[in-house]
Amino acid sequence: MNAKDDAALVAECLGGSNRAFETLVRKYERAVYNVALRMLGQPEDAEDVTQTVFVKAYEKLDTYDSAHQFFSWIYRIAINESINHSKRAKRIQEYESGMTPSLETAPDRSYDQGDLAEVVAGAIKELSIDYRIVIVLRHYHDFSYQEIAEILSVPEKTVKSRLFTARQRLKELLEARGIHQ
Amino acid sequence: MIDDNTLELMHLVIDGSASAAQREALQPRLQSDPEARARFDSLQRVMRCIESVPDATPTPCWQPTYSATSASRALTFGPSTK
Repeated sequence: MNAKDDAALVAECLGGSNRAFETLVRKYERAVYNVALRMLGQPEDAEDVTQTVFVKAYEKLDTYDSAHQFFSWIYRIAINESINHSKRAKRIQEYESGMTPSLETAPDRSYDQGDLAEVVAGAIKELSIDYRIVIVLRHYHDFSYQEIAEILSVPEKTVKSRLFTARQRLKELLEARGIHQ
Repeated sequence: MIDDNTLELMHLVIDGSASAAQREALQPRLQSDPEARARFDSLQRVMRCIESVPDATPTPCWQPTYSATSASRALTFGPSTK
């Protein structure tokens, strides 16, 4: 299904077809869930955000500009909702513990594949929001620099710069977790 | 000290965005500069780490349910009955 199909589905939905919206949900729910999961790290948080994204998309569907790609619009909502959720969670965490994560260097360790994935996901979650977003969109959703620029409404040059810094930062975070680089 | 142009080429190559000309341009720089080679290897390892994280599937299957009041365009989601 292409962007033209998406625009047609949006038009059908605005015309009163709930089935058309259900089709959009089915098409994008896994992608939205994965964006939220990469951004937030916890499945239950990702599920909450996914629900909120589609509720908001439904409520604001009449504000969608069909001159742009539907996926850019839905991803932008997903990212904004993930950021909002993350900020709320951070405020609660800070209130409860008053602690901030440390970057002490750990001794080198060997990980099996499952452990490694968990450690890497944790390190990605430690990245600042701007860096986390570009890593998630580029590496887990395979968007081009241009598409990421459109989703984030920033110049392509900024996407590249953030991505390059994000990888360097991720390298440091992995080293801090004992993953030898 | 690795120059900015070489660093940019490294990033483009490791994420598959580089053109053939850019890939070719990077090779002699990596061969002649051990620091650049080490940085490139390190970035490749970061990429492998990123790729180690599997895709995930939402655990509940959402079944959108719509309120009867179309005027409010309210939408709620609940667990699928499938």
